Amino acid sequence: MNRALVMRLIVKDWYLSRVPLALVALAGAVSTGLLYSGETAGLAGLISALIALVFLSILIPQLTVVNERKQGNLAFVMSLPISPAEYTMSKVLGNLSAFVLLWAAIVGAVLGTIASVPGAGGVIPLGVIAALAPFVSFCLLLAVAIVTESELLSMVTMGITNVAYSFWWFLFRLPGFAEGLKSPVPIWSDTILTIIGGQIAVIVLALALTFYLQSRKTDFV
Amino acid sequence: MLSGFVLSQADGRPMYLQIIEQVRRRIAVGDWKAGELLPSIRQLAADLQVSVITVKRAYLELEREGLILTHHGKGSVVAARTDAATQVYEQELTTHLEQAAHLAGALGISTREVQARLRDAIEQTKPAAVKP
Amino acid sequence: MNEFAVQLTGVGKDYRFFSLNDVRLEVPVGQIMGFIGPNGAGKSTTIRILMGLVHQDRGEVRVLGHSMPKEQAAAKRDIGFASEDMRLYGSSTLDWHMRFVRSVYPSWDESYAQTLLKRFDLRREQRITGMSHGQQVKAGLLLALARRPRLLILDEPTTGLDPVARHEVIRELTAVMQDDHRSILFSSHNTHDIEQISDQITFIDRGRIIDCRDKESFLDRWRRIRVELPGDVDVPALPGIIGVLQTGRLAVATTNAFDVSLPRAYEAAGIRVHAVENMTLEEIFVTNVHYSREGVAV
Repeated sequence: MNRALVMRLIVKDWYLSRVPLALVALAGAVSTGLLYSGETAGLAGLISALIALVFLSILIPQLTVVNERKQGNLAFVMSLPISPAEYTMSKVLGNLSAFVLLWAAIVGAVLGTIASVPGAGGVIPLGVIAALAPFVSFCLLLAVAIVTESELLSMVTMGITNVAYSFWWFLFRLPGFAEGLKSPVPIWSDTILTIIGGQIAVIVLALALTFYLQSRKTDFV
Repeated sequence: MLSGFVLSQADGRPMYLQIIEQVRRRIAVGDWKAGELLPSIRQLAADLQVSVITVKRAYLELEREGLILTHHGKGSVVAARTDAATQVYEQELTTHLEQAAHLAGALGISTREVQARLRDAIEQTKPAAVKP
Repeated sequence: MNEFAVQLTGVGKDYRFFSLNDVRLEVPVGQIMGFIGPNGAGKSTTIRILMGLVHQDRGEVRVLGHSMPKEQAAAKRDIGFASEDMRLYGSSTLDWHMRFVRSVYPSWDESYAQTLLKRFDLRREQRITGMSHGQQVKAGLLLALARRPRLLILDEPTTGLDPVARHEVIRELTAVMQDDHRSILFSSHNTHDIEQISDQITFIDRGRIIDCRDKESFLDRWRRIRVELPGDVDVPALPGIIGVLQTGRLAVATTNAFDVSLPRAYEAAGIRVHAVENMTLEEIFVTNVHYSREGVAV
């Protein structure tokens, strides 16, 4: 693996996405600020943080993969001395690193803020599930973008994951969930752990499938 | 050396023939002297913006005509011929005669008629003072 | 070192509505191969296979001695590529691209890059989106040329360029050939460019190679012979004549295996030969495709 070249491609993708990434970072910072300002502003902060993460999850694969293909830049990249596997690696690592960085920062700030409020511990499990949701979407979108190179399929996936967000309300139907929220300490019930485990499994599966399906490809441009 | 050749796109003849002609002329007028090194095939190709194979062909032809000599690895030089100019004119005469024969055939003119007309032409070009 | 820069043997690729079949292509080191074909003939597919962008279904592909697509990363280190459907990053400048390419390839020649900027009349600080199509094509070529790669693979390098720009590009391509270790394969609609600078020429049509030989052979073998027939006589069939168009007493015979014995044979049969004409590469190509599609062996 030509590490130096893969790194250079990752840096290129960061550089080309610098403005949107900076905007998301800004939104994250604003959200965190809002969280500290008290009740209603705090709620707005939570929502805006979530929106920023969702936006991030859509944006990066779009910019670095789908657009690159749409605008014919893919031929330029593939004319460089890289193998298809190195291309995939650069896309996955580049996207993942940018996403995780901002995601961890925003999630850390939000959950940290919640944890610092006495008696709000019960919200944390919900917070973790809510934080992982955009991560799951991101990995699915990235996988679809890289493997299918299709703007249409990316849009479809985006649509599905966006609709899926609204189904998280079913969580409140779960026995004991609503009560658990009110608890001053986080309650990690089996159901909650299963859900979190499922989310992580989807993330890992999406990334693994990306590498596998890419290695089977015979047409790149 | 830079050839200073100019190839014409409007000229209907193949490029290698144009190159041959330009080399012949340079030799005939004495710009390129006996023993002088010609541009390498690849250099001339780049200079004229034509394919290497075309220049190669021209040089091969010129060597066959005895106008240049190619030493493998060292390049081509103008052959040491004192009658290079004559050689050029010989070539042109042959070409013109062939053309005349061809045209005569196309027009359906008999050989005797052609000979008569050639004699007339020779008469025309003779200086007035010299008469047999 | 391998004597061939490019070697394809028995290469095939199947798509739903198109198939590339039995493609055999060899570019000797130190030569330029011109690749001509109608739209949809398979030129771009063949070139993509050469670059490892598309994996062939059958056959062997060797580029600079490397087996493709497996060893494509190694091969592409020495290949300069530019194609019609390749685009540079619109929101970035040419300067950014030059720095990027320079950071990837150690063979980048900065002073030559500067020379090319002047010759191609490009501005380094200009954004790609601000450039006309012709300027973008030239920018792509500059990025490929400035590295002085051992092999240049160019898909339509002069298409869409004005005559001045075309002339500059042709000049740079022929200048490359001063180094007999470098090779070029380029496809073009511009038969005049191909005729001018190619050493070898390949015709492709409907996914098959229909003819391949060196340029001088092409130009030597094809002729149009204009004849006048003595009476109500048909033109006799002669070996090497692949087609005759006759109206009344005048006829035009086309041959792809010209020899001086042909016009002499006509004369001997009492048929007057008015002219023996050379054919341009474009005429040769179009005629070749025409007869190939008719199933006539060419």
